[in-house]
Amino acid sequence: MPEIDDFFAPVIRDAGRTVWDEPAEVRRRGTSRRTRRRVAVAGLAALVVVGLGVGAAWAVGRPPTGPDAAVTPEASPSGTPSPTPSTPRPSTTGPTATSTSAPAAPTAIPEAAMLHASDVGAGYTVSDQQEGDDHGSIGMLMSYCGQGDHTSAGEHALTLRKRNLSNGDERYLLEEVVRYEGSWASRHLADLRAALPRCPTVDIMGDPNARASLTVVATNFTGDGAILVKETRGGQTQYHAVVYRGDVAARLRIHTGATQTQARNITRLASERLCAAVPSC
Amino acid sequence: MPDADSFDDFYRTTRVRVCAYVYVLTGDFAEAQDAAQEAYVRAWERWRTVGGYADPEAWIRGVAWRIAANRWRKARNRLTAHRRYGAAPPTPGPNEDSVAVTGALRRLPAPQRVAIVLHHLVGLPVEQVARDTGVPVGTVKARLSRGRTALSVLLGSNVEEPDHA
Repeated sequence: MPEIDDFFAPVIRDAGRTVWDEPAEVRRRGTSRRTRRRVAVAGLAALVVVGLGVGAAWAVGRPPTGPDAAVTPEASPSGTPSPTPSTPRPSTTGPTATSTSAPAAPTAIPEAAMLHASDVGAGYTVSDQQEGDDHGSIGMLMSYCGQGDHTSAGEHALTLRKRNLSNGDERYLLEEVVRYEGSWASRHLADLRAALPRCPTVDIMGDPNARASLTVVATNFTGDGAILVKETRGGQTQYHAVVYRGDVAARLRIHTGATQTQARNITRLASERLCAAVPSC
Repeated sequence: MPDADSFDDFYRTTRVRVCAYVYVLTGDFAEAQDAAQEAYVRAWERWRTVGGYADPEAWIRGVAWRIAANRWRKARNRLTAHRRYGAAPPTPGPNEDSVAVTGALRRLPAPQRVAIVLHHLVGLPVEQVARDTGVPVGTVKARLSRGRTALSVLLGSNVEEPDHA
């Protein structure tokens, strides 16, 4: 009698026979795309600086200087993906950003920035082993709704830390804290807020029999910006929250049986914890 | 290019599982390969970060799945999406057994299909499947059991019930 796993053997064999692009070709495309994005960013920065220069020149009555005087576009040696920076990237908006005396901005997400078990309730335990796909995340729901590319914030993530707080098998909270480049933490929230009205209902995996309803129940109640979304599916309710402070955002999936008020409170606590990762708090 | 070797090795050793994962969930082999391939391109864009994850394959799987899922609602773009990278080398189609398995899976309710694939193809423990899909462990076990029973009928073969789920 075959094991269930045996049924997948022909699928694995098929996938194995697939003609795949060579690794060098995959890398070439990835590098090319990243380079194009950097060129676009540098071009935009140059326009900003030119604009500032024109404005300043108008103000003091002298010709504007060229963009080279103030712009230090980020270089990409040999087109390789840039590493997570350990020091601040040169700003493209003024000479002060090129100073080498500025303290290094933090990139890591400290443990103190994550929710603690006591923040969620009695009986919860913490695990940082969560590496799964989280098919129930708000991002995944947006994908089921055809809005998976509603934001490109993920391309600007610098550091990610996950946490899973659970109480038995049925009550849990999944937290992802992400540090973004520049203002992408704010942009991430804005993009989600713009996409949500297009997804009042979501068919999980395209199945109309597994339909979830999404309702925004609170906004901007904590941090520099926040949103709380109620998901109702098959008579069950869970909450999704996104909150950010500075360049750091937390995404929560609250599957604890929490009421709306409790979900708000948990989001507030998550927001306060973020201050451990944001010196300007 | 210090990361190239690690990426190449990762790409070669994981791409089959990632493609199979998307394939059995979507039932579309070309879509699965396209989504998987695109996911690896995105991974290389940020390999210094993704390569440092404890389980970068989970990241790839998630990205590939999101790409494929997103396209369900964008069917009108599908034909062009398949040709996004120009003329691809000829790819052999899936064999009959593979089509039968995928076809049977497609006839399962989506929650059962996801549970079966995550647990039996990807190898996630039941508790992880429960968290990833947002349902209790008992529900996942019930879905696995019902899904296996349904597959047995659909594929005309008895399936041995594993002890762990």
